[in-house]
Parts: sequence; C-alpha cells; structure tokens
Amino acid sequence: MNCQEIRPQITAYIDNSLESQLVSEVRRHLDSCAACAEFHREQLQLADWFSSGSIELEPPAQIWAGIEGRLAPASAFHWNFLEFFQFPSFRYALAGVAALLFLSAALLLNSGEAVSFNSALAQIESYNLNVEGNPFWPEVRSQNPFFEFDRQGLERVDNPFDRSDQLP
Amino acid sequence: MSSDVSPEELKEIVRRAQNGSPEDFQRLYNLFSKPIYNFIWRLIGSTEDAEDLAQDTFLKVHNELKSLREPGQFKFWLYRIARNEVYQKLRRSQRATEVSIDDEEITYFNFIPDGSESLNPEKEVLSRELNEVIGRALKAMSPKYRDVFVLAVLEKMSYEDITKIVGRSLLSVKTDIYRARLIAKDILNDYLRTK
Repeated sequence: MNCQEIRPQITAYIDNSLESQLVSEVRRHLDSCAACAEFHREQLQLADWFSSGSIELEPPAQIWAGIEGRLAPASAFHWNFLEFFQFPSFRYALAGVAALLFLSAALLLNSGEAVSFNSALAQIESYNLNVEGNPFWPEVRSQNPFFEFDRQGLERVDNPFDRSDQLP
Repeated sequence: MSSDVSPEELKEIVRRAQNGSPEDFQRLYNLFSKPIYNFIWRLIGSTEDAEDLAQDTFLKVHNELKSLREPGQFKFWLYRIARNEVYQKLRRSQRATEVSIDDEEITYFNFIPDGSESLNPEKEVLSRELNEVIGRALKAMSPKYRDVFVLAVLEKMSYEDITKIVGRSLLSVKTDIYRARLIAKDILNDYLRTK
C-alpha cells in the first residue's frame, strides 16, 4: 500500500480497530516512512487532546421525569383525545368506522325505499284483485267477456279456452 | 454505564423489559442515559435539544422494544434510534431556517453549559479551551463524518460496532473517520497557531 492508501489504516490502528492481518503491514510502513510516522504522531496527539478535553455531562433528572409522565398508566384518565390523531393507526380506524356508519345509513335508506316501493306495489296489486278503489274496473270488466268478477277476486265462468279440468 | 453489567445480564434485562417490566426498562435507562445523552449532545451541539431528543429516544425505545428480535443488539439499536432522532431534528431545523446544516454560521454548539456543576473546577480553564476546539471541529464536519468521529474518538467504540449503528460498511466507516480526523487536525492546527 502507498501512503494515501495506508493512512486510513493508520487511524484505524490508532483507534484499535485495524484488522489483524493489516497490523504488521502498518507497523512496517510506519518504521520506513517518515511522513506517515509524523501523521501517526499527530493523530495520536489529536486523539489524546479530544479524549482529555471532552466533557461528560450527567443527563438532567427531568429527562426521566418526562419519560415517566408520558408512560403514566391509563387509569390516570387525563388523555387529550386530540393526541390520538398523531397515531396513523387511530386515523385509519376512525376512517373505517366512518365508512361503516355511512354504509349502514345508505343501506337503511335503501331498505326504507324498498318498504315504500313494496307498499306501492301492494296497492297496485290490490287494484288487480280487489274491485274496490280501482278506477279502471268498469272498463276492464266491459272488455273481458269471459269472466265475471266478484268483490273477493277473479272467478272464471264459461271460458271456452279453459282446459284446466283436463290437466293431470 | 452499560459496562457495569455483563452482556448476558444485559440481554436478560432487555428480555424482561420486552415482557413489560417497568423496573427493567428503568434499569436500561439508568445504564444508557448518560452515554446516549452525551452522544446526542455532541452531535446536536445543544444541551436543550439533547434533553428533548434523549427523552424522545427512550420513549421510542419503550414503544418499540418488543420489535427488537435480538436482545444482544440492544446497545446498537438504541444508538441507531438516537442517531435517527438527531438527523430528524437537523432536517427539521434545516427546513425551518433554510440554512445548510454544514453552514459555518450556525452557532448552536455550546459545549460549556451555563451553571454546569459536572465540571471539575481544576480542569475548567483547559477544558473550556479544548471544548471550544472540539466544538469547532465537530461543527466543521458534515453529520456523516461527525457521528462516526464521535463514536470512534470520543466514545471509543470499535469500527465494527460503529458499522452496526450507522449502517455503513467497514471500509466506508474507516474512510469517513479518517476524513473526519483530517478536518479535526486542521481545526486543531489553526488553534495551536493562534496560541
């Protein structure tokens, strides 16, 4: 390896992270190259300065206090409902419930229309079977010579096309 | 510190915390709060932000701990979450201020917090100067170089462990640390010249 290639290995060597198979090569190079030996010395000094000058702070107590507060049990019941909107799963669930309600309302409305339709149909059918209230009854009767109608329903009299008595 | 417990013991603590033990979760906090807080502080440069981000990190750990399949990887997973929180904060700050996070004008690095009682008074003067140099050096680095430099040089983590945190190859980590050290050396040389 040339100097450019070996210098990253030198810094890894300083940080005790050089692969074992490269250690001897780096040491040989440092013994033979004055420039890289100087680089090695500077980097050692840098590491020393940074280590000695670096401060370690104690984490403030309010970090844990904040965590504890956010992990308070559900029985505290001080939830703000709006905070749940930050959770995507809650938004999806809400959308699903709204869709379900909308669908139910649509079905209910349709079934109401079906009821009114059925009642209208029954009224129409009543015109066919019940002579009362049928404004077209006199005309129907006059146009159909084969039937005599009574108030209860249809009654067939003298129908020359009737073969029902011959049916098995 | 995490070095107070053996790896096997740490695995057991993580497993119990995964099963919902609040005492074990607090134990994890006690073991890792200081290194994580300092890691975040060195990346973000502000104790106020470090406090918020450390809290967010541990809350995320609490909520997602069950998703950790290998309890033995807890430490790297924790650092990864902390690093991601910092990056998200930096992106939000960048969008808010429309200033590059590499911009030298950003002065959020404050390594000597006012009223800090954690400093040894005898070291305070030297520490203050050195910390200014460290702060300038870290500020001069891009986040990509800053996090590996902090982990290697300040946290003394092995390159192998760093790859598990930053998600890059060993060669990439090695190269980035080398480049970060060159930047730090230039800043240190400037400081020594002025002295």
